[in-house]
Amino acid sequence: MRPALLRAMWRLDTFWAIAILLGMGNALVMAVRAFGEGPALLHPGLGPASEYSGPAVFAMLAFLVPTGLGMLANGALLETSSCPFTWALPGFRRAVRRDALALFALGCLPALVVLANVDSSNLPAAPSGTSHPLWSLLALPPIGFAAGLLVFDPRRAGSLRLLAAATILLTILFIEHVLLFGLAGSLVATTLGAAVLAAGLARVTSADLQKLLLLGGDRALPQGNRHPFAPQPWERAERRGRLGDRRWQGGLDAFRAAPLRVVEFERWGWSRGTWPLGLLGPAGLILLLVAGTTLLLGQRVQLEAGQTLQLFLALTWNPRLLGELSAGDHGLLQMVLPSALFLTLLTIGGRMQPALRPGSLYPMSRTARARLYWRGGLANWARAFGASTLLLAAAAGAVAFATGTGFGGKGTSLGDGPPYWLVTALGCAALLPLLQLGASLRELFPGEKLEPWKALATMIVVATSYIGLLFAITLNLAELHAFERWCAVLAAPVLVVAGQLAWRGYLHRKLATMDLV
Amino acid sequence: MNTHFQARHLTRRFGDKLALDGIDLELQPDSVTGLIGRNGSGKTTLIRTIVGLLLPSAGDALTFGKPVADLGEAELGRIGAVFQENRLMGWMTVAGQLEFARAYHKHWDQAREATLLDVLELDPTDRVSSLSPGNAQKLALLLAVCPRPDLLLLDEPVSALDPIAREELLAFLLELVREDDTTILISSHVLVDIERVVDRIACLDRGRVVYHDDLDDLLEDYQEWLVTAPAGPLPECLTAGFREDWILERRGTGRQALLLVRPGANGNEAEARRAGFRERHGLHVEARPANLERIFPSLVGRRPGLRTPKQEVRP
Repeated sequence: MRPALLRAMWRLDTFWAIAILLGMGNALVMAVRAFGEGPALLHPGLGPASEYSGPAVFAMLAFLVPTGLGMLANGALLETSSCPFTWALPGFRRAVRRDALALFALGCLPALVVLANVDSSNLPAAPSGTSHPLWSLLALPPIGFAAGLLVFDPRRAGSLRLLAAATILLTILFIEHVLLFGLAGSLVATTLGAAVLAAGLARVTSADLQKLLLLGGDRALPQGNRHPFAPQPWERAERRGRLGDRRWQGGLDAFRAAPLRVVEFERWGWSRGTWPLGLLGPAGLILLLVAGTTLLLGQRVQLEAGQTLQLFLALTWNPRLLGELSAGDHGLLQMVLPSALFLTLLTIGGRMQPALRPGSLYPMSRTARARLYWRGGLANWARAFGASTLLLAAAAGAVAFATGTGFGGKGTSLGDGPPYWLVTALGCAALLPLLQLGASLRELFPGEKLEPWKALATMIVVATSYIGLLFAITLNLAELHAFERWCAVLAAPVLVVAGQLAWRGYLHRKLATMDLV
Repeated sequence: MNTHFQARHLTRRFGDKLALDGIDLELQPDSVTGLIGRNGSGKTTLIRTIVGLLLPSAGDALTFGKPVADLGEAELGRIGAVFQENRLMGWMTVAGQLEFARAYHKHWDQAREATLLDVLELDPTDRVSSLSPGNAQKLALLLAVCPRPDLLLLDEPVSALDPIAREELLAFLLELVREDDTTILISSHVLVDIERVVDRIACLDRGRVVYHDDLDDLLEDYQEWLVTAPAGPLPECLTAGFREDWILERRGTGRQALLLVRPGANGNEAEARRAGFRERHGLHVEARPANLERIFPSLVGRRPGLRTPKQEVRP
C-alpha cells in the first residue's frame, strides 16, 4: 500500500467516516456486552445468553476487523478521489474501480460471517423485527464503503452523483426507520425526508449538495461558502476577534496571545434561518424524522429503565431487536433524547474544530497548532454541547408540556436526580477531551513527517478515542442504575478537568522541548 | 498528420446550460495553442474533456486518437494537466505529493523534478496546505511536467503568480517546447503572456470556437492607428460613430484617438486604406501592430469603441 494512501487513512472527517465509526463503536460495544451477556445480544440466532460460543465471538471479531479495515481504506480513498487531479493520473481510475469492488466485498464479509454463524434453530418462529439487524449488517458496510467513491468520480453525470449521495443517506435513514417503526412508519418518514431533500435540491446544484453531504472539515468550508445558503461575504468578512478567510496579518505574537479568539464554527453553509438544521446534521434529521413519525402515528417504543445501552444500540444500529428484548413503560421521548444528543454531538464534532485557514496556521509550529486545536476545539465543543443541551431540553419541555406527561415519572428522571438528558450531556462533556485529543494529534503528527507505522499508530489512537467515547458514554449511562447514580454524575466534571489538565500538562512539556516556530 | 486532440461537433451540456456547442478543434503535435475566451465560455470544460474528466454530451472528442471516455493508462501517461482550482492533497508535503503522483507514472523525470524544485523555490518539506496559492500553482505545474508529457494542458496556470514567477513560468514553458516538443494548450486571461508563448490561438465564445488559427495571422489582420487632428477636434465621424465597418474600436477624445482597425487582407490593401482614410479626413495616421488584448473584444463580438468610452490615449 502506498504510504500516501496510508497517511490519508487517519483523516476521518467525512460524514461517512463518522457513520461508519458509529457502527464500529456499536459493534465493539456489542462485542463487549456479548462477553457478559452472551452473543444473543448481537442476534438471537447466535445462541442464548448463557453460552456464548466460539463461533459467535469469532463472528463478532470477524465483523470488527473488516469493518475497521474498510473504514480506514474508505477514508483514504475518499481523500484521494476528492481531488480532481488524481483522476488525471494514469492508473488511478482502474485503481479506484478495483478498490471500490474490494471495499464492497470487504463490507459484505462481516455480514456473511455473521450469517454463516447464525443458528437458525434459535431464530424466533414468528416473523418479527429480529432479523432486521442482519439486514443492516448486510447493507450498511458495503454501501458505505463502496458507494461513496461514485460520488467523487468527475466523469459521472451530476445527477448520478447526486443520486448516489441521496441514496446513501436515505438508505441509512430508511433502514433505521424500518427497524424502529416498521414499514408504514418508515414510508411516512422517508416521504418527509424526500420532501426535505427535494426542497433543498430545488435551491442547490448537484455539486453543492454533494459537497454538503459528503465533505467535511476544511475541505467543506470553501465549498460551503459558495453555497447559496452560505453566509454572505459581508457576514464572512473580518469579524471582531475572529479570522475570516483572510490570512492572519497580526503577527505571530498576537496570534499566540489570542488563540481562543481565532476560532469559529465550521458551518456547512446553511443560512441563518436553517442553521439549526445544519448544525444538527444527519443525526438531527434522524431525530426529527423519528419524532415526526412517532407523533404522526402514535407509535411508541417500549424499553425498560436502565437499558440505556440497549437504547444507544437501538438508535444507532438495531433498535427493533433491542426493543423486543426490552419491555417497559417508558415513552419514546426520554429514550430518544439522550442518544439523539449524543449522535448530534458526534455528528457535528468533526465540524467543530477551529476553522483556521492554512495561511493563518502557517506561522505556527505543529505544537502550537495542536494546542490551538485543543483549546479552540474544546471551546467550540462546549458551545455546541451547551446549545444542543438547551435545544433538547427545550424540546423535551415542550413535548412534556404538550402531552401533559411531565418530567416527574420514572421514565424521565433518576428518582430525585436530574433527567436522563442531563446525565447524558454531562457524560458527553466528560469525554469531549478525548475527541479533541484526536484532533490535536492530527496536528502533532501531520502527514509531512509521518512514516506509515506512525500513521497507523496515530490512526489507532484516534479510532480508539472515538470508540472509547462511545463505550464510556454507554457504560456511564448503563451503569447508572447499578452504581450510585450521583457518583457517575459527579465524575463527569471531574473527568473533564482531569482530562484537560493532563493534556495541557503534556503539551506544555512538549512545548518546552520543541521549537515553537 | 496525427493530431493530439480532435473535437468534432463536440457538445457538452450541464443541465440546461450549454458549455460546449458543437465545436470543431484540432491540436497539432508540437504546437502551443492559447485558449482564450470570456468567463464561462467553455475553456475549462474543454480542457477537462480532453483529459477525460468530462465526457461529451454529443459529438466526438478524441485524445491521441482515442475517445476520451476510453482513455487508458497509456494515453493518460502522455498528458500533463494543471487544473484551474489547484486542489491538491493538502495534508501531504510537497515531497509526498510528488511521490504520490510519481507512483502512477512509468516515466518520471527525477532530474527535472529536482531542477524545478530549485528553480521554483519549493521546499519539499512544506505541507501542501500551507503553500500560498502561487506556490501551489507551481507545484501543480511541477506535477504536470515531470512525467515529460506529450500533451500539456494548462488551465489558468499563471493566475495566482506574481510577475516574477509568471516570467519564470513563461520562460520555462518556452524551454519546455524547445526541449521536449511538447504540445501545449494554455488557457489564460493574461493575454500578454499568452501572446508571448503561443503560436496558435483558439478563441471560445459561449461554447463555440470563434477563431482558431495562427497567432501571427491574427495579429497581421489587425492594426492600431493613432490618429491626430492637425488642428481642432477630431471629425464627428470619429467621435459619434463609425462609417467604416473595418474600424472596430476607438479610444480617446479631443484631438487624438486610438483606433483598432482591420484594414485589409494584405499589406498593400491596408496601406491603401490608410492613405484613403488620411486624405478623406485630413488626419495624421500612425499605424502600429495591435496586440492580442486589444483584438480580443472584437473576436468575441464586443466592440467597446461603439460605446464611445472616454479613455486616456497613450501615444
